[in-house]
Amino acid sequence: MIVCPACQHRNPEGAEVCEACGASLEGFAYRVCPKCGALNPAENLFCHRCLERLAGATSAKGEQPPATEEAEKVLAEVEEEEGTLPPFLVEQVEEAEGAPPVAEEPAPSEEEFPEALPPFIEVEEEEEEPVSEVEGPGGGETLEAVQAEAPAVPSEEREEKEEELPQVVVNPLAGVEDVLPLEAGISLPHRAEPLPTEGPTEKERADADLLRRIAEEGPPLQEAPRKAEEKGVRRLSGSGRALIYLLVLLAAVIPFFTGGQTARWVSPRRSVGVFADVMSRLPVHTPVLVSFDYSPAYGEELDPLARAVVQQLAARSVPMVVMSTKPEGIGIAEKVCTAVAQEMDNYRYGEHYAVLGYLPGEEAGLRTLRKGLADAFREDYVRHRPLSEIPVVSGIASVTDLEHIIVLSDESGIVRRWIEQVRRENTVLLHALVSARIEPTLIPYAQAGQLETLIGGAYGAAEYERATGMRGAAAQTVDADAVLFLVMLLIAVVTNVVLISGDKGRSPRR
Amino acid sequence: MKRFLPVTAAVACGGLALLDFFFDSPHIDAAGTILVEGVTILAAFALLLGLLNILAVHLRRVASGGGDRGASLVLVLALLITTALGISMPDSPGIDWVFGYIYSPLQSTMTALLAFFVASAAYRAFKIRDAAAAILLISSLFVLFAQLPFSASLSPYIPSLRHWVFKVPVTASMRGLLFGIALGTITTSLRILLAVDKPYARSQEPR
Amino acid sequence: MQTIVNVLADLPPAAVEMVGMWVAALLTLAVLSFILGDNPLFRLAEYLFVGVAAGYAASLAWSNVLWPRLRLLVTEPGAYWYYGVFFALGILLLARGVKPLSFLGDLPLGVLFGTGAALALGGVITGTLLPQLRASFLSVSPSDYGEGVLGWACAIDALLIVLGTIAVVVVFHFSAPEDPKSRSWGYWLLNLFQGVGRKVMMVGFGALLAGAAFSFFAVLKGRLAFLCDWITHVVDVGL
Repeated sequence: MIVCPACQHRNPEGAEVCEACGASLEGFAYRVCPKCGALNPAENLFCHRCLERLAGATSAKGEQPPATEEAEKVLAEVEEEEGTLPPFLVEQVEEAEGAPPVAEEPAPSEEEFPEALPPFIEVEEEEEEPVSEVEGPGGGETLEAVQAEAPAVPSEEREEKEEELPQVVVNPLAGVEDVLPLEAGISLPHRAEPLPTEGPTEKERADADLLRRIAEEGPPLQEAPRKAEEKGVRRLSGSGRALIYLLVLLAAVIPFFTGGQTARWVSPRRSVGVFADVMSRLPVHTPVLVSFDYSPAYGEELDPLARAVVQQLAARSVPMVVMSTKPEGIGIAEKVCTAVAQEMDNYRYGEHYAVLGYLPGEEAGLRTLRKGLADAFREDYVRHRPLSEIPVVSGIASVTDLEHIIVLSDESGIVRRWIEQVRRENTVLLHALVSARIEPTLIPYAQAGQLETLIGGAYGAAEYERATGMRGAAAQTVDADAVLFLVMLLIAVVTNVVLISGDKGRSPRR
Repeated sequence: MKRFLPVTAAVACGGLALLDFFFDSPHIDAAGTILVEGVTILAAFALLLGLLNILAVHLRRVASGGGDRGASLVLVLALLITTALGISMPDSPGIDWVFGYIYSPLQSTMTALLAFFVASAAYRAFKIRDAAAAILLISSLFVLFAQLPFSASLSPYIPSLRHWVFKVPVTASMRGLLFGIALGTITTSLRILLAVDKPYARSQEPR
Repeated sequence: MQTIVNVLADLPPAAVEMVGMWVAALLTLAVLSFILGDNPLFRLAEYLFVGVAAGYAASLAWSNVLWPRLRLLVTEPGAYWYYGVFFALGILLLARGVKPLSFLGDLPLGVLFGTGAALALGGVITGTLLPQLRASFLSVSPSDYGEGVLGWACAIDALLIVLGTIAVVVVFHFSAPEDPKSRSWGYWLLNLFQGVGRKVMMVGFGALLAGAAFSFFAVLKGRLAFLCDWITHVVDVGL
């Protein structure tokens, strides 16, 4: 069976065009497992979930289509590599890579990064949000080049769709894969790449054959514990979910009624204090580069921090050069800078600050920036003038001439690129002000001294406001965090009470 | 020739970029500068390609009918209007208006939805089925609690413990993950540079 | 288009802002409606977002990256000849969208992939792997950290970081032999490290989960604050 990527109609094996919508199935993305219903990549010989041999891949030896041999090799390699993973991670890799519901529900894709970018970059995209590389909604050749980013929403749809399928949950992270930036760390080293089309060697054929036999035998040793675990998983009912949503909503509106009662306890951590101190001592003749590498998705979290930093720089007339490596980032940068400049008449565009624009190319873009500012930006974003005509930038040949770079980001991959491509062995000090979601992933860089500063999230903004003595909005909303903690605590208690009562209920029957 | 040129280009450009990365020579530097700036140009073209792909897909959907026809039409119109505004009048307040009042609220609210889903996901994640799950639960709740402004006033040890958690186990786990990512990147890059993988030549792969 | 923009530009800023606020508020509500279940309003908002996002990114790529360079190529072809090469490659890349000509896109993609892979390779070795390895070689001698208990505490922390990192790496990259009868020291040690590694990882994942909750929640608070402003505005000013 072949699922039409355009309309999700399930077509019989061998169909070339979709029976329902007529779309070409030449570039179909997934096959449905006849046994468990899971969706599998077209080249899979066996179902990733139940190891059933997939229809269409069962042609007799010698009649295999050219792609099948290749697929066998891919399978062999995937299995071989996954064999090196502990079972609980294998599960996770399967869940992350299989990601069937995304394929079932090809949301209108935000096709921002066509395959022009290497696969590891795509994976880094995956790290941030539930992203899956699927063929575009219309299928076909033209869409191969498209990486579809499922917006935040399908994660929930995915959760719902998963419920229709046999579930095997064997790791404690079940359920949070969609919301944590884990995939890259787990799946990247084991990502299967398409292999060269040259025929497989004898050894590879033998390995593939061995693997097929093992796969067909099934994993008896793992079956029993898996089934036992399945019993322990009780899905959240509709009303339970509604209750959780309601509690979260209530927690979020708390600050409107309490007015920031807990804000008086906000006390800046050492790292925030040190950063505020560094900002307050910057020489007024050395420009600072600020890169707005976040999208409006996390604007509500990072805008207060960005505004506080820009305000502090502007208040002291410290020259500032602004850019972004995300298209959306430059819109935010302009908005924040304009708002601050309007508040402070003596902080003028061109003389004190300049918005250079958007720099594409990821690694290549940052490498260009390192080589020469004028190579990366041929003109500024606001006035469209060559950089040599903008006083605040004219003295800067390369970013390595700068002393401080501030990166505001919602993707750990972006901060990593700044460290790898720009900072390297340089003396330039890199300050990362990031979304709380990615803060832990960057801790090793901060510990190793590769990041001078690492400040996370809205609470970082509240601490920064306190450290600089500014009156900002961030501190006024911290009350809600206490309620969020209570909600999470309640969830933890309830889920375990349900788990224990479920176990007790079952135990007499054992 | 169809296969030879892309492979040669990938290996040659990769080789040049590597030389430029590790060696300091004026000639290599000049060539490397041209190459990396050129790649940023290609990356910009890639965004245009993405736009054309979306347009083609959804125009086809609009033409062929179906349930999402209306939504696809909205998408196409939004895309065309935004592109026209952005290209013909990049300095007009129109594009800022679209960004500020359509793009930002939409993307931001889609992220806000995740606040609900992370809570319902926690319902599954917080089940203490084994020691690892218990550690996950304790660690999450502790980090959530230690971040609260008044936690330090309850006990001066809480901030210290939070600092220790981030300095020791979180650093160790994230560093382990970083090594995994680094090794994976090295493998993938080497496969491309040695032309073992040719992800750029998918159009010629047998189907 | 120009006329429409001129008409809009002539509107009083307060009116433009008010219309914007209404549009933003209604779109916010449309997206939030998803918590009640999938619905046409949400779908519409979703498609609208994709259209606007693609249009915004592509127009920015044109006006901020391509157009300035195209102008330089035309005005100073001698100095910027290489732009011609890359623009030609870029046009070949666009050909990837046309099925019969899609093979033409392989060449620019080769350039992109080759260069990207090389830069990622160099970057990850010099920027992540080596510095992080260096940072993992920590002294476990208390005297290096100070006198008394503090020195010992720091030394133990250093030892824990090193062992924890190794354990997490072991979880990812090595697996114990499947034969449970195997009782070799290596097998035992590997199993021990895997067990510890998983638990260390769970601490990290717990921190990630908490961070994600904070992030998403901060965004939700922001959106609700915006809706609150909007309602206040509507109450104050009227429709």
